[in-house]
Amino acid sequence: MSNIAAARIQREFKEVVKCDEAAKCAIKVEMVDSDCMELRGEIAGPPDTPYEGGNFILEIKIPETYPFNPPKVRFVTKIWHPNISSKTGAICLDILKDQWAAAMTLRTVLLSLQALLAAAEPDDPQDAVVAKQYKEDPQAFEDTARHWAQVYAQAPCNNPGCSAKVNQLVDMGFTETASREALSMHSWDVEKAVEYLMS
Amino acid sequence: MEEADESVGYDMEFVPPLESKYECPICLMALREPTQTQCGHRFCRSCICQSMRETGSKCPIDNTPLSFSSLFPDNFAKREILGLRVKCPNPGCTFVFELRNLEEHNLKCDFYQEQCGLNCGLLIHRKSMEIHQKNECAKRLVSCEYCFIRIAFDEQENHLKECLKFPVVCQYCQMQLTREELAGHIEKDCFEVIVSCSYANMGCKEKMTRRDMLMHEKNSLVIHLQYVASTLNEMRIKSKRQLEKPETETFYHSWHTDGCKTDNEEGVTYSTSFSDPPSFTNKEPSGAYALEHSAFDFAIPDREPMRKFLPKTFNSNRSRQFSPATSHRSARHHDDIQSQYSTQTMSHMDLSILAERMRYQEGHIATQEQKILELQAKLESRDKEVKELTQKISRWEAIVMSNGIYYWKFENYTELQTITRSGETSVVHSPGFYTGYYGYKLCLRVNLNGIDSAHSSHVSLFVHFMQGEWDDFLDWPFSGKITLTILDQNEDTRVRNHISETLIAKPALAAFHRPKTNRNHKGFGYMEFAPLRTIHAGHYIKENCLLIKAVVHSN
Repeated sequence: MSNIAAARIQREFKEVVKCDEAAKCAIKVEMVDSDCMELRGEIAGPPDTPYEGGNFILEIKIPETYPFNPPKVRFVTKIWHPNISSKTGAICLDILKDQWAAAMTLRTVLLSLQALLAAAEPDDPQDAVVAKQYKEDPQAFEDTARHWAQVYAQAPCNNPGCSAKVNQLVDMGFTETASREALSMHSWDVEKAVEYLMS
Repeated sequence: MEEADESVGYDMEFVPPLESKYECPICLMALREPTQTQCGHRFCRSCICQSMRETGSKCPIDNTPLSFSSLFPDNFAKREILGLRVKCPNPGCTFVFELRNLEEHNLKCDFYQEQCGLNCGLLIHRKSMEIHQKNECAKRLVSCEYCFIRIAFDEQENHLKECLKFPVVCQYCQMQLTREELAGHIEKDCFEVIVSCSYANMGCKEKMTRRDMLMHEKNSLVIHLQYVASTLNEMRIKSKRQLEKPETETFYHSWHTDGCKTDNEEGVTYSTSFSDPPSFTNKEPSGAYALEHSAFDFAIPDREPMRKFLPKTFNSNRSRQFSPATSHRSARHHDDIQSQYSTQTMSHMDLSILAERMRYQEGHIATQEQKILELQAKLESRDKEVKELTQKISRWEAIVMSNGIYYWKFENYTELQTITRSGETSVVHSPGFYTGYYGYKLCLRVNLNGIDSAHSSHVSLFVHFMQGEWDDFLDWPFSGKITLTILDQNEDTRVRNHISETLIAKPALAAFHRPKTNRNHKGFGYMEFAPLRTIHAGHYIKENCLLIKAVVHSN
């Protein structure tokens, strides 16, 4: 890793640890290896969103050419969001691509991701199925996102209906993950989900 | 004219802590050579230059399009930042001073650490450097206590594993000798090593220490003679068998090869005395046999040694193959056989002389090989000495030969420029030169492809001061003028148009202070010394060489 990248990450790391948002437990970052090439970020789901109360883990990889090129960031925690792949966690966000600027830091990246959770961009989607649901059936989207946050990001439980449907499919012999995905894709229509799983 | 500096911001602890407006948004450290963009953002000069090279010419904060020419130094911010107070970065030192005094403080700071000049990789306090390099550094030169060669301290262990003069103990007689002597000792001298009897070729199977062997050879004279006799006899029988074969050519061949082999392998088993007549000589020869030997008969009237007449035999054998007259020659047949014996005996004796000579030659070769090895080792140490001396001479030449004028013949220009462009090394330094006898030591530094704002457009040329032999009594900082010239090598001297610039030393700049490292990190010169277009269009490069001249006048 080049000198400038290593020195920057060290400083940015300190900046995140000391910042106000960290004090409020909204963002957090940890070293994964000692040479700073890989970090683990954590953001809290923003209030008044389906993600509220959840903790979302991020994988952050720093390229050699940092800060002249953006860090590679991916959600490790599974999440239901139009701009984040429900399968891989890949993120579609302009500042992590062509709109990156060398003056941005880990802190601004984490805060931007938090803002993305609060304000999705369904017209520039990463996950087309999620984006379609977001636009066409906002209530189903909110239920799904909340359910996923509860299952994968330890958000408090307040919609037992979804879990019941998942259990219904599990009892039919499907795995829990597959059942949840099928139900999520079909806006919790059990029949359609079963049909999808059988095909 | 700009001072060369390629590093990012100041990584210092400020008291009170640095305000964010003085922080470079790229390296997140205190702005070094603050540079402002048209859109009003400040960066270290090297940071913004690197950013524009790496990611295109746009502002790293708001992506406003930028150009190198629109960047300008923010000297207000620079003055403010240099006036901020910082803690000394050297561990152990508690001094707080203005940032502008950093270099000055480092010069006298007892806790200042620098890289050990012997490349051991350690950072050493300036005060302890001498003691470190003398007594502690892993790369300090020490003499091998056995062969007196000079080697780095940490290579000593490996060297001892191969040092030719290292004392070893002979595993047989426990005698102490040097590693290079051991092989020869075991081969020739050691009394305790188990050796085969020198009559092993003749069949003696005895093996014992070399000491006992002397006695054995003395005591077993008679037995050994018997071995020799039976070996000879065996050879004789063998060659006779060969004679009986129809193809004389085969005989000739195997007589030379098989005969020798018999010496070693089968000689022992025969105890018949040498004078025993071969039994088949009494037999009446058959027709084919007679034909065969009449061929010999035809060819040996003068009893020549067998070797000489053999080819003739071959011819005559063929020519007489169809002759009807064979049996009338049988009366003379016995005499023929006799003559063959005597020739064969002679040849056997020749053989043993040859074998003896071969043994002697082999011993001789072994001695020679040993001598060659010794000479090679000697040669290697001489080579090392020569190399050291050459280095010394070139150092002294550099002192003696120059009188403030230095020509740098920059060879392989094209290759270096290609490498430079691919980003391998952005900079090439000339060898050091002195401004005169007891003068300053300097070197030239060239960035073939320019740096920073001159990147890809100009050749950048700088001078760097180096630590010289006479620095102790020279005046510092250096004052005087330096003329740098890229020479036009046009054949026609009338149209030569040298590119030349003269600079006057500014004592305030660190570049003209006494160098604290082998080469002062700070240089002084021109980022835009000469446009690359001009260099490539004119006659500045001839036979792939660029000629750079430096004239240094000190006051």
